[in-house]
Amino acid sequence: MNLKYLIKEGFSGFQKARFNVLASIFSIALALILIGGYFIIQTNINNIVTMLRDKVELEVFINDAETDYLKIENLISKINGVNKVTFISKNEAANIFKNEFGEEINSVLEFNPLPASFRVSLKNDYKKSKSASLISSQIQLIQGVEKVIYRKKLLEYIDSRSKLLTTISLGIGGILLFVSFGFVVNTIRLAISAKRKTIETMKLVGATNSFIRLPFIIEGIFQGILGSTIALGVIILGLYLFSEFVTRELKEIIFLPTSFISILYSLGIILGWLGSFIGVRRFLK
Amino acid sequence: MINLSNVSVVIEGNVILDKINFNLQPHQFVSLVGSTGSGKTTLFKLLYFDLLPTSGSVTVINYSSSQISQIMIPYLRRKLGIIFQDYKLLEDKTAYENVAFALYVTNSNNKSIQQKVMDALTSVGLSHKRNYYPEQLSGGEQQRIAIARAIVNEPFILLADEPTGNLDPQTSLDILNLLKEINKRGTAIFMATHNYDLMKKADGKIFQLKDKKLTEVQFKK
Repeated sequence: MNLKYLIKEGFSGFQKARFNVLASIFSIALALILIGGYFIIQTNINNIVTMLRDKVELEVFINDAETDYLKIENLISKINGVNKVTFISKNEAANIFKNEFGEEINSVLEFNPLPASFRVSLKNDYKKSKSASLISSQIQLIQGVEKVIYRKKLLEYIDSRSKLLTTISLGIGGILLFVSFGFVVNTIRLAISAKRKTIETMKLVGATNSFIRLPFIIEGIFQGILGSTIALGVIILGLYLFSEFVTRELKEIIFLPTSFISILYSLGIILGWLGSFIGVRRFLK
Repeated sequence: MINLSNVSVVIEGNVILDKINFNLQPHQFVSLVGSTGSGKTTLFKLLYFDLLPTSGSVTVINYSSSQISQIMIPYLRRKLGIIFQDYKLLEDKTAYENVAFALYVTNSNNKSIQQKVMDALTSVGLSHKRNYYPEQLSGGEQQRIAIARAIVNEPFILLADEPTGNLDPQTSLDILNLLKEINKRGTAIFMATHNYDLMKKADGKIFQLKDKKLTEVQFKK
């Protein structure tokens, strides 16, 4: 096969059929902006949910009569799902009170009523309401433990909503992917229809199907790369503008996943290739 | 080179060709006449395997309709030159590129392409217009470019389906003379036309398609 000629033919559309080529590129870009935007929103929603889960810690208050803190710490550490146990003495609790409320607890009550406690963080897989509840009840059984508290309601809320959110999000993602692919394939197919005379002539002079197909595939892949580049530019610009309007805390967790660029370009190339392949197939039967 | 044996074509219940027999030998110039709609184009399509017969067999060079696979069809077409009434030139390519196209498509050696294209353009008398686009050429000139494209691969047979259908009488005669020259160089020619005057000026046998049958006829010259 004359590869040089095929590549030249593949790129000739950019000079000779600019409108069709631009329509194909922009349809790919638009599809990728929709899919990419969805992907970023989805990823960042997951990040926010993870951030909220990370904030959930168990606070274990110790009976004032108990003095063997080390034993309690060891017992808590051994419980399945516990990540880290931090001891907070009565004095440290008083300091925290002072930091938060600006007053010495001793000056208010003349004695320190704050109990010693442990802050228990959970492993990632256990930051769910069911696991937290189980761990909490196990800690509660340890001798010397007065009370275990954590943000139970928040965890339950996150659990129930994230399931719903994932289901809705997968549905929207699926529909978006399907519609975008259909839209792009149809645009490229129409662009190739305009070249049916060329295809017919190629067949008459004895071109094989693979020879006819290849320039269109090359053109489609290149359109996919250009479409991806445009989509990436628009998404980065959109994220930048969006980050101007959100709080500092939210800004820190909104980001472009590292795999995003390669996924976007792969999708663009697949879209361009698939559109050309389906578009030209109709004329090769 | 071409052999049609008891060939019938039925499309959507309509009989287009009915048990026709035909033979074309190397170096022959054979004309086919018939009114519009008589089945000339259908017959041509059978010869470059754009259509397969409903019954009977078509053999072109060494390719038979009963055995040929889709994959083999391009290789048969490389041994044929085909020209049409509407030229089928690519509007976005120059005369040179249109002719070279047939060589690139058939994987010709890059070095030989330029020489072959210039030879073909010279033989149709249009090497000086190699950089013109089809829209810058007259109908006769466009058909000459189409002929150059058809002969650049040095085909065994040139199939010409109404090659002068869109041309004035003088230009038609020029095209006929060009086909005669090509024939003298050894290429067999099978030309369909509904122009009886032109056909009378052609050399060789004349066949007529009438009432779905193909018969050899004699006309007074």
